[in-house]
Amino acid sequence: MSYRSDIIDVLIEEKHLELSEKDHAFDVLNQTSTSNSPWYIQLLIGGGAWLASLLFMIFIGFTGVFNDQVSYIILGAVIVVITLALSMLTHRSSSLFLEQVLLAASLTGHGSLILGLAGQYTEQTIIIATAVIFLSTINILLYKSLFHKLLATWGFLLGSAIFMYELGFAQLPLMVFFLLIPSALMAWMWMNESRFVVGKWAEIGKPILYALTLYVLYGARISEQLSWIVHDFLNRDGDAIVNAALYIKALGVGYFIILAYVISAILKRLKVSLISFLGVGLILVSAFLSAAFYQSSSILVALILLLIGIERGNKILVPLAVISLVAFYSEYYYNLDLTLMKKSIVLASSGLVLLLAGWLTNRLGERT
Amino acid sequence: MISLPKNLSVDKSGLFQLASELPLSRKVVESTLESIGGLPDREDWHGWLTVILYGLGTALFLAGVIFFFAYNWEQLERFERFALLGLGVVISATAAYWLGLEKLSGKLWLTTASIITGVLLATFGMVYQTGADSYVLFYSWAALIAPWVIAARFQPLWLIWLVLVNMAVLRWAYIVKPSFLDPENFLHQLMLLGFVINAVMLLVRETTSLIHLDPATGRWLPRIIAASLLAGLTAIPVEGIIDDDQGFAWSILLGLYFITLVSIGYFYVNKRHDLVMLTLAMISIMVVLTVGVIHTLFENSFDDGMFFITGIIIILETAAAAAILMHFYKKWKVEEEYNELS
Repeated sequence: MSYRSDIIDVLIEEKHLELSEKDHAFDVLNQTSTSNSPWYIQLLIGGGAWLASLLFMIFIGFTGVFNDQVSYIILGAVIVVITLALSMLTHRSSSLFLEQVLLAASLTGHGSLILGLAGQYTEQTIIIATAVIFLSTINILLYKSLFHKLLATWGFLLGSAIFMYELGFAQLPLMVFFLLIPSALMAWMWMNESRFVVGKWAEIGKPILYALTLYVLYGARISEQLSWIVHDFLNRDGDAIVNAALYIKALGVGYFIILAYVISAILKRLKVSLISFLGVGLILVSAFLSAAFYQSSSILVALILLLIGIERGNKILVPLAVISLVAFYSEYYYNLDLTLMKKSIVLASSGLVLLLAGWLTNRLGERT
Repeated sequence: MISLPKNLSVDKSGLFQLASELPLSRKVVESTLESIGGLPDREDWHGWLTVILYGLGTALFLAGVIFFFAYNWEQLERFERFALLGLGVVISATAAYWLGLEKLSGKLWLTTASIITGVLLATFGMVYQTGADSYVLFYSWAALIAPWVIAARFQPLWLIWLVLVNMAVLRWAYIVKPSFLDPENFLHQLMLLGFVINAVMLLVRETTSLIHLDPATGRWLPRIIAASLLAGLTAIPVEGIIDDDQGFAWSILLGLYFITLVSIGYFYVNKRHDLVMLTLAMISIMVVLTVGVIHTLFENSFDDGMFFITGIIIILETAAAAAILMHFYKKWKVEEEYNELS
């Protein structure tokens, strides 16, 4: 663990902090270290809130007083407005109790509102999608809770995808768009992390970053499953799309570009030229991996996340990426249409290539 | 020599917060991060790449070898099977010895040797159809690998060994049905046996120096043991709430449940600060309280208002638990920072 004094000393030495500001800086650092609750306590709070909001919704369902869709919409809207107002009024408060009550009530309100809209406008999905986009934007901009913003980011992406589908965009290009654009945004935000977790962007940047990360990782996974099941990608009018395979390859090319971007950003920081032996080698390796795994884009996403996690020293990203990489890679081989004998040869030879690469990397490092 | 990077241990949130307050530009934040080791340098990247390539390469190669033998297994003679598995144990153990058990690679190879030992024993049982009960496999396996488990100081291997011991004892009790176990309330007595094994293991680990673990790998083993103990014990009061006609073994388990909660509270607040253990205990208490409330409210009549009340109770419980845990978290954090600075 880095001592607080190390940070202060470096800042003073490089004249970014006056000596007179030293005590204030220590206070800020100490306050930060004690105000961020551990993830398992946040999980406890979130779990309790989810359970409570589920019970509240069951209660509302049983009352029978609000027995039509319009009542649900009105009730939901009222709860959302009240919890939003309270959240803004108590912005500076660090009360866990209040935070949890607001979270449970807010989830109940949003659930009621969206269920009411879904029931009222069953044939007009675009209205529901618009409402979800609007609510999500409000949540991202105005709610204090990280969990709210995280859910809202997913809601925004889902609502936008449905909105664009209702406008007439076909499933497959939409899928590619809604995977590649968030992936590129996520990679860019992580590589410029301090722009988004410092200053005015901090409250919005951090939850969006994590929401995008989880969305991208499991979105890629779900899209793979869909592409195995759905053989004929249709547009909204029911016409089959030709060259569906082209869009799948586009995903591979897209992820290669993102992977290459991450590698080039890392090399730039380490002052290694992209056109050096190492730089070219790494780009070629990433091109090879993208070509090999273009039909299993979740593997590429996990690899991108692993590189980002190591580069940013993120204790959540690295294990998440490692576990995902192992799981997705194992499933990839399990689903390969090869005999056990051929699989064993492919696996063993891939392993030997990687071991050789590891040995070369180790020797190169020892030499330099 | 492969070295893992230090940048994962740097706490960046404080710097980011300071950067917002002062304020500091993005360039200054990044350069400060580099200066305090928050971003990996070339040596760190070299270490990571080597570990990833070696790790993935080993996993893929081993998977290939396993698939190869799986494909050819039926064609192999019995002695060829034993020879292959035996060779696997010898190679793995030799690799562990050569690499050294202070390295992660050495520990992983010893774990591999331990797993193959079990496969060898199982193959022996299948080939010769010895008729031995399954608990014999488990306790033989556990006994054979015990010296390796102690030597490796590796939490995953200790976990495997603990699972084997549990399986051996519980399977033995279930199959043999020894005379000291009453046929009535047999399940509770089995739970009592399981509790004794795991509680002793946790106690020995936390209060003595008999079980050495590599401190760099964290404390997830004692936490898993505590989680499994509490998970099993939480079912006891819940059972009692739903059906109050229980036997003597249940009463003992209920008493042990309360003793465990008090012990965890006392030990992990006063002797060894561990917030995760306290969180586990809190979750257990919350589950019991919630079930108690639901049972009391819904026992005699059904009213939809009970859902609302239960929701409120859950909010109150969670807020109280979080407040208590955050109190200890902040207190210990301040003590830790003070000790670091002094």
